[in-house]
Amino acid sequence: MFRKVLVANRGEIAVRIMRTLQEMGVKAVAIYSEPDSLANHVIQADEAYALGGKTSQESYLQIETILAIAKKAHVDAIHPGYGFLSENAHFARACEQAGITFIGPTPEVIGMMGDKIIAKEIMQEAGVPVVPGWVGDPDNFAEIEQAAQSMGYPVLIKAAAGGGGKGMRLVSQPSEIKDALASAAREAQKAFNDPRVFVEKYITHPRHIEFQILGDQHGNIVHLFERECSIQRRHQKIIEESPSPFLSPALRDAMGQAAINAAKAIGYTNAGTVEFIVDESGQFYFLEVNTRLQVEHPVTEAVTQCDLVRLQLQIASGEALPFTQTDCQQTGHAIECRIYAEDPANQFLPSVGTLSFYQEPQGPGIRVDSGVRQGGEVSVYYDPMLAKLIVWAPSREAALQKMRYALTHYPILGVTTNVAFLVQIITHSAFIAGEIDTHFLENNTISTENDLESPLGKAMAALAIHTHPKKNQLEQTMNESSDSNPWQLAGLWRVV
Amino acid sequence: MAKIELQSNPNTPLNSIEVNPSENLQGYQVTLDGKTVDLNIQWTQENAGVITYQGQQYPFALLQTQDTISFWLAGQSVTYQKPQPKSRRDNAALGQGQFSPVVQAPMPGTILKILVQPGQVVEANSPVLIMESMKMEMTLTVPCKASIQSIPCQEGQLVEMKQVLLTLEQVE
Repeated sequence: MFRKVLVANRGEIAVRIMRTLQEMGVKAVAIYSEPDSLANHVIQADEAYALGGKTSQESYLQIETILAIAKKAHVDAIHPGYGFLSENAHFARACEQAGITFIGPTPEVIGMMGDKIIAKEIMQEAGVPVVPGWVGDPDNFAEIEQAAQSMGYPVLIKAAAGGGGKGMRLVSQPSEIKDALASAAREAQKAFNDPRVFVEKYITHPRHIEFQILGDQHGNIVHLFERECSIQRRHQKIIEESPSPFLSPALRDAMGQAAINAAKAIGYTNAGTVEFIVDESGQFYFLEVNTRLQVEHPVTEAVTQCDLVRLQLQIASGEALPFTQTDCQQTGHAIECRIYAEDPANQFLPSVGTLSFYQEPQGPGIRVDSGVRQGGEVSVYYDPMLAKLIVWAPSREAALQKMRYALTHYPILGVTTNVAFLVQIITHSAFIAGEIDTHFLENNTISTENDLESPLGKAMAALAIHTHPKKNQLEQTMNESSDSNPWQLAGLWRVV
Repeated sequence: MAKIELQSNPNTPLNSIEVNPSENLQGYQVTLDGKTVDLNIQWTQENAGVITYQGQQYPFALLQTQDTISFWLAGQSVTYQKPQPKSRRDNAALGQGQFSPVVQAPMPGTILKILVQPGQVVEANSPVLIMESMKMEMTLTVPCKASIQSIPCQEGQLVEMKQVLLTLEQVE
């Protein structure tokens, strides 16, 4: 096993990886940008090194600086987390060349799967079903329009190097395709430094269901069942669960086998995810392989009682998988909600500010993976995800009840969050019935009304203001500085 | 008795709320719009506690600063701001009278593309600017049919939240 591992990431995932490292007696090394100098992952680490810079580009994406730190700190391995350099084949190769183990698949596999066009070809050859699509010269509009026409609108434009919905555009009519291609290519260039895009038939009522896979260096490959990730906004997942309420045991077995076939076709090692789109009839299509630990991995950990990071470390250090497929069981039901600093009432625009009050919910079956704390800043530089809230219970019904409890016992002040919106989704009758697809949020009305603006909400606020333990002190200062009448000591307050 | 005035936003009526201890000294009676509710409150921390209404418990948190009150209750939150002194409020109102529409940056970010030119007349909701923030592209639109007066920003420029990117003149 490794002695010392550098975690080339920030936020909740860096903290989560470091916890497992430290449990295993492995020293954890953090790297940090200027705005992150007091971040949780820096505090969690045994050693921390400054990268300099503010934006991702200037800091967490600086391959040479990171490798120089890794050498200086004498680490045996680098864990890339998700995002940033986690699916960068060049980085994985540079680690290898520097004599440092990259915790993930080989650079060749990352490279192949990172190119969505090549990945699709390989899977088609391996007999894994794929979505009909078109690849070619992105400037040849005539040909693209013709291909889209024959596939039938709507079509989806995707980035060859894509992921996380970046560089993705839905096109519902021919007149939109030119602008969509340009905009997608621009976003792809920004996010992945690769402007290539391709066109795919758009599956209506698609579910997004993915399988966790694990492969060791001895040729053993298992899957750890599915995660249903159909609830998305801006093409990004916000709620994930396992098991999927849609899969029958037979379909689960068929998809699990397809995931293993996909992994075998490329000689996959370490942890990965095979993503599928599933249509209403249960027909499934290969979407892509994510060659890294996923954001939503705790859902799988909860239903299989595995620590995926521990398994990643064991695999990377050459150990064989400690179990076979028949040992793997899916027990109970797990749900994850991603807690974002964003405003669901205003196009999910990110919200920045200081977390003036922040307290995580607690209790049996409740897990919070977070990278923030009270008093911390949510800055403009990085992804606005504050935390992941994961619950586990014996049944889906009990898990939903637990999630509702946890969400409503998670006070956050200082930034606008999506918590109330998440409560609305998980208590929606269609969601409870398991009637979900990736258009759930477009096709169902999710209220963004604020109950605190109701008379009862105001009555409760007024009572809290009136009985606040520090009220007397506050009133005194306000009394001295204003000419308010004694009946209005707390004054007039307006919603901002 | 205590009286607290809360207003959700300038377009809604001001609510005057009376808070009285209950006669049996258990909890409070809170009156709003002539309707009284019985509430119980328990502070469990310096800035947080539990309110009970009709047997149901609602966790809450309350933070006060000199100028704001932020209140969180069971997953939702609201911030009330102390109004500015009267004279300043009047000035603000005066400013509102001369208000001409602008397009502001909803977030700090980078201007990717400017889609219009000064003097151009655009329909309501037409796209005028593309900006990027937190790795996401967003398209900014005009709120009404308008003629573009000036464009005090340029492509590639980093802009602050609420920075004015376009000034407009409404076209009837």
